[in-house]
Amino acid sequence: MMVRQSWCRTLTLLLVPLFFASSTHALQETSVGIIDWHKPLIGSPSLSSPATSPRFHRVQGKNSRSVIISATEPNVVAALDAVNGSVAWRHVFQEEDRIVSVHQYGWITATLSSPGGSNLRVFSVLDGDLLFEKQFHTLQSGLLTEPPHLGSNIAFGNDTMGIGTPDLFVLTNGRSVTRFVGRDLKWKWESEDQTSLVIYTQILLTPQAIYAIGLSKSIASYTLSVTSLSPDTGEVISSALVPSSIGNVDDVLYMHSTTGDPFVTWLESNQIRSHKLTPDLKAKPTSHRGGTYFRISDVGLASHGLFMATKLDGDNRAMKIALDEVQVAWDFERSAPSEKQSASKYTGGFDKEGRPYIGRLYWSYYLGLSSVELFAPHLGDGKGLIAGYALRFDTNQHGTIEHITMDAANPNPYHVLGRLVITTSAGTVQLWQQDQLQWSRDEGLADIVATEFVELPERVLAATEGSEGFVERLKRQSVQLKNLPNYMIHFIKRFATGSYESATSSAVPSSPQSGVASLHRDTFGFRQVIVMATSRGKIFGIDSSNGQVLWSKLLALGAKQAEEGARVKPVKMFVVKAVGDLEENTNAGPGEPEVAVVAQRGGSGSTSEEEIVVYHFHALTGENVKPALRKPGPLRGIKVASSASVTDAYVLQSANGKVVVVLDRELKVHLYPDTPTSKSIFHASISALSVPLRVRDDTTAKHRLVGHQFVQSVEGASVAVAVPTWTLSLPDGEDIQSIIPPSARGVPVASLGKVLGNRTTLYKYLNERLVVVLTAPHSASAASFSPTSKNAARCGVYLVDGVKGTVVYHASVPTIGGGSCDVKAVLTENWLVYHYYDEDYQPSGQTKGYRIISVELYEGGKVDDKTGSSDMTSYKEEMVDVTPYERSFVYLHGVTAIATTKTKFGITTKDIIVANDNDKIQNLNHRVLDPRRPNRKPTTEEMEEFLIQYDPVILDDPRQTLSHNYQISRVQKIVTAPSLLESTSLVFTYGLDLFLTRVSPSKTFDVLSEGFNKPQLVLTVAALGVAILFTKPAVNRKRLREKWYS
Amino acid sequence: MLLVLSFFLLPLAVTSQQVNLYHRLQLLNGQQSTFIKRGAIVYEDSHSASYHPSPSALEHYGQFSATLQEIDRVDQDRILYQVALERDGDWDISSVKWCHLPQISSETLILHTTDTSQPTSHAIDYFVSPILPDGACPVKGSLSASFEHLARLNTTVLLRTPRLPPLPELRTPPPLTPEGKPAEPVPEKSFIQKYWMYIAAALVALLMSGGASEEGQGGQK
Repeated sequence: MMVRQSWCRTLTLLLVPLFFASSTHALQETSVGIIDWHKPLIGSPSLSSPATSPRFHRVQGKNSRSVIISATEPNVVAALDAVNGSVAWRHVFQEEDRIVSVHQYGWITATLSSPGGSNLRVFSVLDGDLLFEKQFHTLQSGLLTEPPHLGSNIAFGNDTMGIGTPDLFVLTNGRSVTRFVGRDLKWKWESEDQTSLVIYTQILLTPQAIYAIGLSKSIASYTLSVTSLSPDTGEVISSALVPSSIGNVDDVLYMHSTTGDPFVTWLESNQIRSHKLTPDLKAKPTSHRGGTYFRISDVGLASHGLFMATKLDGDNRAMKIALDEVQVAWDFERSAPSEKQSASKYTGGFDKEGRPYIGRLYWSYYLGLSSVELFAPHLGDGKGLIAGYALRFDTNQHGTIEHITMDAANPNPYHVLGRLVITTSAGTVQLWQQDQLQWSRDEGLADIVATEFVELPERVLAATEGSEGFVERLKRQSVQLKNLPNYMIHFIKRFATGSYESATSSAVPSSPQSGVASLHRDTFGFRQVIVMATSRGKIFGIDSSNGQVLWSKLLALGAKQAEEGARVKPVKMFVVKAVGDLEENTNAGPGEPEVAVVAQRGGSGSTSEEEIVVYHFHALTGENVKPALRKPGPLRGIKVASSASVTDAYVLQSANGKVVVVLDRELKVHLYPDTPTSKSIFHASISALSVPLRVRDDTTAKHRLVGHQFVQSVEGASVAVAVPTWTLSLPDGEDIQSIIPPSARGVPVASLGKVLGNRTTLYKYLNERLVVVLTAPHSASAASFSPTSKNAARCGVYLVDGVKGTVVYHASVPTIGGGSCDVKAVLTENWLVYHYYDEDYQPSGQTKGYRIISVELYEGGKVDDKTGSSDMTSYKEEMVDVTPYERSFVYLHGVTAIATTKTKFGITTKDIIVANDNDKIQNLNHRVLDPRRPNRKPTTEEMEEFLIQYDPVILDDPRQTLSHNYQISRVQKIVTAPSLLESTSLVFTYGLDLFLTRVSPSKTFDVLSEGFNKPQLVLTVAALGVAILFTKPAVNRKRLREKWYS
Repeated sequence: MLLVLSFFLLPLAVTSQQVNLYHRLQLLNGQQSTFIKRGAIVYEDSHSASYHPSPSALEHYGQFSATLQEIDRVDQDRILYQVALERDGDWDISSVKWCHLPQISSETLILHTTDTSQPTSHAIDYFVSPILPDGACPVKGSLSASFEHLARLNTTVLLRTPRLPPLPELRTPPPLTPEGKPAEPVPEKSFIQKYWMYIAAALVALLMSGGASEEGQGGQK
């Protein structure tokens, strides 16, 4: 016995290096693009200001090329290739450095960001190379304005250096103008009167003078103020107030006339007035007498003296400044919104020769189409020419058109062609060349709020939809019998050559089928549908094998459509019928998987009331399950509660099906589907249900954790109400930031303990009711705490029993800058990992930096103590009898999201997946984060447990990087899902980009590797078989002889 | 003057603080009753506290039991006994099942506190023992049970403070000279430098013993 034990020990020691070698999960270059995919996005274009909205830009030259430049909601500046819609380049700005304006000229584009436009960055427009950057003032001294671009601007001058780069004139903070020649600052002018109420908003360039034009605030209106500067020295030539009374900052336009003279045009008492700028500022304003207007708007053609004006009757006119006065360029008659047509969107653009055009788009209620009109001012003998066409824009799928931009071509004098880039309310960006859709980008995918993996059915199940009788099956199988020889040949060939799928094979189907028939799972279940809901009220079904959008649907607004600012806000998503789940009618067998999205919808008006809706649809097609009537249009929802909003939602699983339980603000329970079966399922389990909720105290405006149980409702529309049963109050000054459920909820636990090298056991503390609660200093109290004082506010990491409210673990970590907390945590089984920034280095004598704390909870106070926590009630005192093993590690980066891998049976070791602020996804092996790593060289017993010596620093090992060389920006969440292979987990990240890969924390132990020599095995077996055939008679003869002579 | 002031302030600092503890019966589908004072927690020092029950606390259990008698149908599993910790703002509440009380012999009050210098607690966890591992109510009904044994209840009060996460155990930095340069390690002596005396002694011994034996051998020949 002893001999066997020592032999085992020796074998283990020999295997240890092998295990260490296997703990590295380097992504093979050959697997890139096969086991993973990356979908770079730019986010929905920022449409709040013309300074950030999309616009065409053509770079002239030998190879003329057009890009669409835009700043976007996630604070990205990007250029899209106009030919195919791919991302030519993008720059992700930091959250606090908000982009205020984007400008382009020739081959450069420049951005101003942060309040007052403090940061200037200049990029190459075609490849996005950063040419130079400059900070003008600090973040704190920046002028906060509304709209944010007010007080900052850029004007491009001539190329005085002769290097192809125009001189830059940059207006910042509403009072400074700086001239750059190349990268060198030539001069800087600053408004002398620092206390003045004048905010300079625009600069216009002429060879004679630079005009800084500002708005001076008086009691009820603004007055124009102009300062002319010397282009060479920046000295003031003249300064004057222009007699004006402007009601709104948007009612002023700054432009050059058709002959290049600078003008300021504004709306005053429904009249368009203009003022020509000269260096001495002696000119007088003039009024346009052709009509009365209520709005003037810039369409991006200010450099050519063109703008739009809306008359009091709603009709629109294209206006121009020519011969030193404002004239009507074109009258868009009957363009006012009516029952026949929607309000029009206008935009300006240029052709290859730089000639301006104005585009108009409106929705025709009669035709159900978008109509486009293009106005070319230079055609028609200088009187202008209109060309029109219609777009088959699918508003049911993409929402309403919110913004357009254009460029044009004029191949012959009577022919105008337009390219229109459309941005929709659902975040879709499309390019239409005339009436043909060229490309479409779903930028709404950068705003995902809920997602679920949905397993696909097997091929056979997908092919034999519906009921099939015995005779039909017999007929089908007799027809299929003709394929038997082919099948046999294929089988033998496959058996002999071993061309099986491996864990690194592509999951993309090879068959050219399309539609639902093509949606079947692959051998190892890597191919699934990822259903996503965006904050813009759209849902997507994405193929996890390649990232292709299978279907997308808009969530219908229902009766709320008529309300102002109506929108759908998805809250939670549940797979209500997975593959294998029984249908309500058990005879029907497993069908298509189904998903339910719990959402709330309503308008933005003060009188508008929100309602709770459930959208129930097929995961493979996105078609409504309920209501079952299939007709084209947005996905229709079923109203669950009126005048209510969602507090939380859950799914209740029983043998009879799944029920969605929605809890509203008044803690009333609403069930979906609202059927007697659902009610009986809910009432059967009501006594066992308990949920912790984040409840706000109205007097202190702070939150605390309150446990609730459900009781049957005696009256009203709801089935039950949640009643508070316990509370967890926090220390003074702390407030709940988030509640994180355990990541592996529902995944089986493979082992209840860990056997140590000395044959003792540490029993895992397995409490599936545990939730992680992260706390931060309350915004009101943070200021009252000094970061250096003894009572400094701190961040909290709690593990709380969700049924009784027991605090099982509580750690206090330092804040960042004395006020904020950026703790990321994940809990799986008995393992808690959290990441934070520690700048509290002085007391400990350590360096400041990012820390990862790994905590494992074990039952009792010592080894071999067993309390049976996995089956124990929360009310038993032994539930707090826990020993935490902790270790701290230095991590080199900030973390934006953290998760653990998830496998089908929970046998495989769990790894931690982190998305760091270096735009990488990394895999941290459990062996590295094991809190029991010894400080010295591991002993023989510790080596048996595969423990390695403690190293405080988790190095930036490229082999840990799952994301190859992709830039996965601003990851918001990591979702992991099991595949059919126990060894392999799918990892999906979303935020700005979408990224999916596979990980095998313990290597692919359950499938043969690609390098396995199958022919050799077959040949060996065959050779042995032949050898047996030959030797068997001889052996038989020998045995017979032995029997005779024995 | 300062000394005199300190002399007067010292007793204030060491005076033990106390906080009241309340309790009530909660029927989930009934109206919420008010909390009644159960006793007080007295903080003896920053690490220990004791529980002092209110003289009338025992009577309260009888009142609770009487309340239950008046109700027709009660799901025993859903009657909670709640203990509340008095604090500024909302009190902190911990619950156990009422049906466990008739058979318990001990109770534990875990008070969560952050500042050991000022023993005030922000949260409470309350447990009773013994109970079944699955938390099921005893078969014998608890509605008409007697509660006299609760007077002899063994009460334990525990104070819990948050853990500070461990610090990374960084390696010791290399020593520096007063000028800030890395200190040159003392060069290690070679094998001969370290052990020359032993080698020399061994050689001498070898020489001396070797010569004698050779002579002896020669003589024998």
